[in-house]
Amino acid sequence: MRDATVIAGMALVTFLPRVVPLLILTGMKMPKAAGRWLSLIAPAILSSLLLPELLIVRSAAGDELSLSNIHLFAAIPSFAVAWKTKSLFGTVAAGIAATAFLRFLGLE
Amino acid sequence: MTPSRVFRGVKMAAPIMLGYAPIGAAYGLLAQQAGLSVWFALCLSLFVYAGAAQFMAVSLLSNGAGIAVIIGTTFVVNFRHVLMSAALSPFMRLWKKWQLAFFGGMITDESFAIHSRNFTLNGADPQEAIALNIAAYLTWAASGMAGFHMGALIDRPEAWGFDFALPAMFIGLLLPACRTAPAAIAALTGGIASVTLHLTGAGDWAAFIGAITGATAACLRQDP
Repeated sequence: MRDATVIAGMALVTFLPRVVPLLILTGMKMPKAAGRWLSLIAPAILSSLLLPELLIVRSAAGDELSLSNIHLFAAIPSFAVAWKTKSLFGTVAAGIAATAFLRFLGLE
Repeated sequence: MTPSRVFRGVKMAAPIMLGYAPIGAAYGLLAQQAGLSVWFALCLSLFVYAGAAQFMAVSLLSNGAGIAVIIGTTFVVNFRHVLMSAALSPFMRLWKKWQLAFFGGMITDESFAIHSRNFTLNGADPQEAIALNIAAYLTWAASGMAGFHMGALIDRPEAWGFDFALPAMFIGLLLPACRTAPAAIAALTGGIASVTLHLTGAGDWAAFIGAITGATAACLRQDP
């Protein structure tokens, strides 16, 4: 019973934020300014999700800023490949290869 | 159903699948080690389908947290999807309601990142987009089960570098998304705000507040 309640509750509070805006906004005429703001959400949220992956490490004391971690180093060739080739697959392959190589060298 | 469109969607999901497989397996292993039942672990993947919230739920459950805390934290951690759902909506005006609900229920950070690029370039095709979501969803659920049953057999999965598949995908999608000056400002401001929030202990809200800060800053700068 407790398990079912946890699952149903988590499912509901996750489902609603995913679906309600789509159902409401697709039927509405949107002011121009709101449309422009929404078009800027994509770059803003991509970078809000990415930067902590590169600059934050978790420790017992909480989240800490780190300028020398394996993800930040692996990001450099990934950015270079993304910039040069514009290939998503190439960027992902470069990122994985760089991370594996740095771990092979003994970095963490 | 048009096989070529479905196939295109699955193909676009490939980098997500590559990234979800090891994280899903790690989730399954953690759930097994925390003593959760296989059904509970699977139901979280099938009905919640949100990586960060699932990891958090496993750790809260094994620490004996109450139901309200678990559900409340899930709400906070997953509230960022409101912005993704809203940001995709202008492309989806011709979709049927059930398609919107079915698609929306499977929005994740990663599927949003791909859809947002693809909708801008090619428009929003329901079959393609839903096929992408289902491919990612099934990968997540299946890898969770694989990790639950066989995770302990894999020695140091991170040695292969797959933990960087999703950050690399975000790099590959962020650069083309920053082609205009306002977009670049939104990304820079949003990213800095998000990192700052993590450092001040508000990491659960970081993506949501970071994205709002970035988009608003870029709009204000555009027309002061």
